[in-house]
Amino acid sequence: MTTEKDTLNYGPVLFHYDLFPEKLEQHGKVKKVITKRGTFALKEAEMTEDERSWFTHVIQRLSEIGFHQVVPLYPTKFGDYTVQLGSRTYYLMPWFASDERNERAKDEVLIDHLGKIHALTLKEQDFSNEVVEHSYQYLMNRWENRQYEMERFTEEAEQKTYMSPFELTYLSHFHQIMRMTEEAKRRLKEWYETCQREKRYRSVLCHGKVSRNHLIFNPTGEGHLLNFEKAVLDTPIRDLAVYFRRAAHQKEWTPEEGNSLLDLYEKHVPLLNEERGLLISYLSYPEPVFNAVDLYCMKRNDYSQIEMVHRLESRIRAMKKIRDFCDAIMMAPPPAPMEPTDSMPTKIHINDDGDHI
Amino acid sequence: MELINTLEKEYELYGIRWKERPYLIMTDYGEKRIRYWSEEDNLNWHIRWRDESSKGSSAVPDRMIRTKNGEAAIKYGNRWLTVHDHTKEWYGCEDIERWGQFIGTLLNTAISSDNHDVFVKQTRKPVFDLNQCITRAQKYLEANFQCMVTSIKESKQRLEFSHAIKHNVRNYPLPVLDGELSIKNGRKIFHFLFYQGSEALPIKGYLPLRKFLVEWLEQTSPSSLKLLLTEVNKHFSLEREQGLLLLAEVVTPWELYDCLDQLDNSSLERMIDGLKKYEVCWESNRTLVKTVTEWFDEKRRKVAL
Repeated sequence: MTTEKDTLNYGPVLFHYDLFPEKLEQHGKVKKVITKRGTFALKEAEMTEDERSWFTHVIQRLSEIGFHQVVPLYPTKFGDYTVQLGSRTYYLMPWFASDERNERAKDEVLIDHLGKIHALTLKEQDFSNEVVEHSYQYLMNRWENRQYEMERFTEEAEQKTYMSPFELTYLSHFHQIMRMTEEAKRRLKEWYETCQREKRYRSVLCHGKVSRNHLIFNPTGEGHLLNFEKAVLDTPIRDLAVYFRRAAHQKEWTPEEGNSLLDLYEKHVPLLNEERGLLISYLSYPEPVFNAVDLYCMKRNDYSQIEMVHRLESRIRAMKKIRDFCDAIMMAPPPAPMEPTDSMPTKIHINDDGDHI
Repeated sequence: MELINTLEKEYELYGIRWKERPYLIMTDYGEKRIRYWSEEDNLNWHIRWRDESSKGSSAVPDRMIRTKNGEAAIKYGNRWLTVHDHTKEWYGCEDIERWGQFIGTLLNTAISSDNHDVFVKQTRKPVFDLNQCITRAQKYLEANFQCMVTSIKESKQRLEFSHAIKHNVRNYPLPVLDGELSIKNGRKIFHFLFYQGSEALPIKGYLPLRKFLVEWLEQTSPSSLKLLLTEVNKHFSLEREQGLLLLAEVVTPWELYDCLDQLDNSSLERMIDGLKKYEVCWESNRTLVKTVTEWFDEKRRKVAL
């Protein structure tokens, strides 16, 4: 239902497109805009000026390099691809109705598209010891600090006469969690040493926020990616780790499914040995479990014990599936030799600020 | 019809027909205004300020609608032509916050004009000519009309004050503004401020803003003018050199020209009537100087406290 308030709020934005809304509907973070001229999707975001121009550059660049499975942005009547009003940024896209028939194929299409983008933008970077060193130290420090926080939580819990159900659940899996943390750190160190030895690393255009929700199908059934707001030039492992970590949390997801999807991805970009190691490292680090502990410490009054325990158990289950998946990655045959490409990225930010892997 | 055909060919506009030849057209997307430009440099300057001052502001200037090829203007005969949104509904002066934000954003854009640009460099900077005013008022001064003597004396003092301020901040850049800054250009679309700029040659300095402030005062009140300055100050600092440059322009007795225009020597009756109008004009304009200087004094006091 469109209220007068909605029209007032979104009118100044839609004016840039010469659209007058007949109806506005909220769908997640997107507004469905129904007008006489058609139905559109209006996305609201918070972006700085640099982020805005990078975002539009990414969309245009993808089209230039031949990747057309991106939901296009409509330009305003003034030729801009985004509208900035106050601190808010808006952009307009065609509205694609969700098609339930394609839901099952979503993961395959998503990984396939990701592989294509990575292949089109893959670039072997000039080795910079400084960049690698900084990236390694930054992530290692962050992981060690988090590990220390978790050890402290464990010690405090152990001193209690009566532990809470959450604390009990956590403690019963503590050694396993710490083993995975150590494995992640060991793999990261190996990646660092290989980079130092081989003097190489590769970057691609990462989507930055890979999710099933960011793939939609057009009326002809062709999958299109959207939401490139967090796109960044980084190691291909960044997107893969985000995807697989999320996927592992789905109830029906299995390590076998993960394997076949990774195979599908590697048809586009066969991973180097050190990249496999880095993927294992990222996936092994039990950040989702630690986040569940953080939530317990900070917001224990907002949720019941049972909710907290369920959350933790679900993350531990996902962690176990990830461990099996990592074992399978390690056993996979070495990648086929890579054909040289001359694609566009010119810089790398391995695990830069805002990295949520 | 030839122009309509050109517009249909060049722009993503449909159902174009004349509403008011040769400036207003109706389209399936509403009413649009056509502007004609004989000077390319002036056109480019107007494209730039409209584009720049729209960034982040909740007020929208009448930017050039792009052609199918993404161009801001098309060549038509020996002139250039641009298409803009158009509406007749006035915005009014009630929404001081919105106006303040718009003026502040406008000044930020105006101050960052590329001063190495030849067109910007050559932009006219109006200079007040007191001697010309004295010559025009000579007969009245000789007849010792009190209002005339007082106003010329005060004008001299104000001009000296203005020169002194300008000398102190002479190294700071002046804004380059649309020559026709006016409340009347503020229109309403979807309840937001839609500002219709002009095609006039830009002016260097604060004179267009001074005129705007005079207009604001005529439409509202001294307290409303102070609130407007406070709102502008939130987006463009008037507390330092730029504020002094604005103050210098406000105290410059520009209104003397308007006052002298009221005089009429054609008969004794008209002469007396003209003098009365002169006095009214002078007094009403003094309110601007008083209000703006008070605002600056209040700001200074707050800082001192």
